[in-house]
Amino acid sequence: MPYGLILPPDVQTEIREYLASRFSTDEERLEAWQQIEAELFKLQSNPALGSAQWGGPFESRPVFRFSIRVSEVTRHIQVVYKVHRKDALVVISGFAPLSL
Amino acid sequence: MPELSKNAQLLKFFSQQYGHPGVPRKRLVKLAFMADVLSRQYLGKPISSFVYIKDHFGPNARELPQFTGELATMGLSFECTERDGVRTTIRLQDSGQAIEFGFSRGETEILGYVVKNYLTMDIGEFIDAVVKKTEPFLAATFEGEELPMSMIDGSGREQVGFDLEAILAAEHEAIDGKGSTLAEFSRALRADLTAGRPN
Repeated sequence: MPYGLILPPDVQTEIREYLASRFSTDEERLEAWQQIEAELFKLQSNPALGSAQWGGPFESRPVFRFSIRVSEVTRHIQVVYKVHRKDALVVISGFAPLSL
Repeated sequence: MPELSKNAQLLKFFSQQYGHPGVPRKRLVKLAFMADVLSRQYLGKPISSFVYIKDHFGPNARELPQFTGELATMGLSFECTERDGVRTTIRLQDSGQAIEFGFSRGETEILGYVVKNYLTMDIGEFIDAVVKKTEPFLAATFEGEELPMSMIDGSGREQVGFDLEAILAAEHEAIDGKGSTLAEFSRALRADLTAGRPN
């Protein structure tokens, strides 16, 4: 059964704030969002893509890291999520830029 | 009923989870220690105010009997001593009386993790492979030394890059049906980003 992907209001705000603060035009924001959405689609199709941190409460909350490239600048992002197998849902519970 | 200290609540929680015949004190102090370790790592502060020292059997909190005493006074749990030859086991048994715990969402999540993983784990393995491998225990050099617990404050949060309380709040929003699907959010966001554009 295909999984659904849920974005809680707090995470929606984090995404909107990220786009508003990191990009100067709506064209760039849209381009950035298209790439983020494509990555979230990948995660929705394969919830095993993220990696879990052993030994604590994030064991059951994997983190999925990816990069986007807009206006020749590469940026790294991570999302943390929980898989609800019974409901076939992936709930994104955090979205954050990643400093490498 | 007078307010129960957070330390006593923590002990009550573990004795309640352990059930009959009562959680041995040796395990109880290690469960509290692991809850404090994880809480310091992921929430930046401990659940209890126990002062842990390095002991032969891992970390120990000398003030623990004071709080089992608090539970006994309030009729919430009581200690019993078993003697088997030369071995003495002190167990904390829950009275079955329910209380409202004052743990935050993050603390509750951490306590759930500790129960799931360590409540019934072989005690020798729990001490040697888990408790004695924690950074504060490894950092202490002699028996009786206070463990430098603050050295791990926020380390897990920093490593994972997310705040546990915020993550749990978002998960609860989703459980309450407040979230949007990816398609719904994308439609709304795209509409906002293209609103000012000429067709």
